Amino acid sequence: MSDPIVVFDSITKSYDGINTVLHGLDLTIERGEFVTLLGPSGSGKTTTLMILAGFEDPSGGTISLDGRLLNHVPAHQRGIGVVFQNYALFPHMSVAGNLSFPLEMQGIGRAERDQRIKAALDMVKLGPLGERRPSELSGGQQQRVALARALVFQPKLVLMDEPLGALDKQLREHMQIEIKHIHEQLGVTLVYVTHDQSEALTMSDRVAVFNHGRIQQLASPATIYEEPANAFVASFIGENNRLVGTIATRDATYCRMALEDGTQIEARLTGDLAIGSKAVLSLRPERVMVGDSGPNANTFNARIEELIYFGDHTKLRLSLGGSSGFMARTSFKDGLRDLQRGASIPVSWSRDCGRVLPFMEQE
Amino acid sequence: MMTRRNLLAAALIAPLLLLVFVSFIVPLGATLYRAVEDAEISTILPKTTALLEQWNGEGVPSEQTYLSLMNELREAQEQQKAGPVLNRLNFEETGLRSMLLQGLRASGQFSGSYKQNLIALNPRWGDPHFWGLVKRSTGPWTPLYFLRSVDLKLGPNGAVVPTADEEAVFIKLFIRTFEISLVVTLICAVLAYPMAYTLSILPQAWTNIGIMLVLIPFWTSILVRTTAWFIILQREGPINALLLSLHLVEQPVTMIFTRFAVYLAMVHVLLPFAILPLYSVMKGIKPDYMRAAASLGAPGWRRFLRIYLPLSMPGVASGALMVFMLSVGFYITPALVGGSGDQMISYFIAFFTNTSVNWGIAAALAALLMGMTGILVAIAWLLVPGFRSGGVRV
Ligand SMILES: Nc1ncnc2c1ncn2[C@@H]1O[C@H](COP(=O)(O)OP(=O)(O)OP(=O)(O)O)[C@@H](O)[C@H]1O
Ligand SMILES: [Mg+2]
Repeated sequence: MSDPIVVFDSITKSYDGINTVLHGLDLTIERGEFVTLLGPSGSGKTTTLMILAGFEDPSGGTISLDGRLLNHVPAHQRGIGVVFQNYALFPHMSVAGNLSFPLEMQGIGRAERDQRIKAALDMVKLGPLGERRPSELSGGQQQRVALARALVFQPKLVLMDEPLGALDKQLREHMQIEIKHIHEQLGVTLVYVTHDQSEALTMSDRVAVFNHGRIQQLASPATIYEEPANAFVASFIGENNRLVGTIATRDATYCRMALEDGTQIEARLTGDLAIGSKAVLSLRPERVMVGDSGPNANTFNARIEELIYFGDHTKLRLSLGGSSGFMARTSFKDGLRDLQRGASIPVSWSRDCGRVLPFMEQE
Repeated sequence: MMTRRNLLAAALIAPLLLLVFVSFIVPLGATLYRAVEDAEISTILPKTTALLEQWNGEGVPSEQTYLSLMNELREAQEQQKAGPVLNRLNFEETGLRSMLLQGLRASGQFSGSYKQNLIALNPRWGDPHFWGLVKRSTGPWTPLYFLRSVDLKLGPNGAVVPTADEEAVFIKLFIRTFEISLVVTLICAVLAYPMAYTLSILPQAWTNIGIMLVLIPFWTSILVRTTAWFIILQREGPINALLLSLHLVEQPVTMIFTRFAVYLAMVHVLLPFAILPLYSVMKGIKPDYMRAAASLGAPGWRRFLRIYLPLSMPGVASGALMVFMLSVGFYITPALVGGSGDQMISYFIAFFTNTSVNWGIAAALAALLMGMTGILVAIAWLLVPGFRSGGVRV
């Protein structure tokens, strides 16, 4: 089943020879896949994309595209479509001129060009706007043109660097769906950069979480969310409670972690942690059950520090096990409306919801 | 409400309009007025002017006219005001000045009819054509200066005819002026383009040094820089000394007082005017455009031709426009390092203004220069892409 189109093999990159931006990156992208590079600012996502597109040379390691070594292939011979964050539409050409450019570079004749330009414009629903200048289009329309331009010459691989970053929330969500549809329709391989985690989770087949020039985890969105490989991924994706303690007991799958005040929590174990080593419990607020609990392994009494009302749900800030700021999320269907700040309530969660991860100093 | 706002806007913009009016419209109007005004004879010789008004142009005018011309001229000469009249008439036809002065000198001994005495002195006094010229010069307007600026004049019967070959210099001068300006503009554009490009891609620290290197000569007086070229290029100058000592040449090379020297010094003076607008436009061309073009399959030279060149064109246009406009008015540099065949129209405008005090022709030449420059710029506007935005990137 494996049919890799792009293979990064221990790619390193340093712009100035002093600071290393990418540390031996290994990444295999399957044909037709939608892979998202997700990570905080400065984590090396754009650099990875630039190296793949051929705008930057790696300092070490190899990349191959379709089995062909790319290191010394100049950008214009790679046949990779790129959508830039600010679109980079040529301002002195019409929309049609922009789309025509890559076709002219391939030496495609007038008639076929016109036909493909029209098809590409129809695909992004911009049919009648071919004669406009980019400056005469709205941000969303420019975005579509950039998309059409990157696709019109039928590249096998398309890279997008935060293509929706400049759009407002509503348009962004609309374009996310549209890009997803285009991806499914064309079967093209897509590498997408974002630092918006919900974008990454909703659109991708797989997500590569970057931090400090290293891939922290490469997995499907569900796996990234439900089974973060380490404390960074756990805290970067979604809302997350972090409780620090030491491993008290453990078996192959579960462990009991002791907090500072002696409270013990039972949770799933991730990574190889010896008894007595420092660890972090990661628990999503929506997994915490507030009020009457079922037969859960972990049931505690917590004090309410704050209630934040969101309409469809309410967030509770609690103090638990000697530490404050523990978040829980509840939909309040169970007659809990009368909860007061300072009141004490039972909270609980299943041992399968919490994950105990190795403690990482740098966060 | 609306009108109050408009009034306020008008009040705010008024100083600007006033400035434009005072610094541009008024001098321009005055120049144009000078170029067609013809008031010397009618103000200095008012009686003669009035008498000539009655003369029907056939035969010679009355004795009274001869007498009045001589008397008024003599009076003007005593008050040192005869110069403009003599200049004006001599401009109509060379030789009239000496004829009038001769008559004036002789008139002291005249007895009887001035008319007969003057005709006896010089038969031209009896030529109706001469009186026609005088009458034509009483104004108040004359097309003569403009005609002369394009090597034309009014013939005896008022028809427009070419001037004599030895006087026909101005069209050649205009052509030379525009030729020198175009060559200088072209050289500046070609030199400035790679320089501005280099500046635009250097790291910031180096860019600042580079810009300083461009600006320092720019802040130095034109006169100083031109004089420096004078010293460098002269026969005994350092370049010739070097060439001779290396035995590359046997004789000193003539560089000073040549067209080459004019181009060199003018390009040196004007290059910053081409570099700076180009630099600012190139600085604004985001590297993403070139990257996008590369990702779309364009090799380096096609990226340059299809993307970079058109995007930098407004900079080329505004730089070239600046250089061209300044070149057209150049005066000091060709005067110092050029030969007699390298002088530009401004040199003659200055000459007619300062030396031979003929403001009419100076004004006509200046107005024509401006008009022709305007036409050339308008043509460039229509033909050169990127010109229309005037260097402002759209
Ligand atoms: N041209 C460059 N020269 C020097 N350093 C650079 C250059 N481009 C990026 N860097 C550095 O490399 C690191 C990674 O940058 P990169 O642009 O890849 O991050 P990113 O993950 O895309 O961040 P963002 O989300 O902010 O776009 C950063 O520390 C950045 O300062
Ligand atoms: Mg980036």
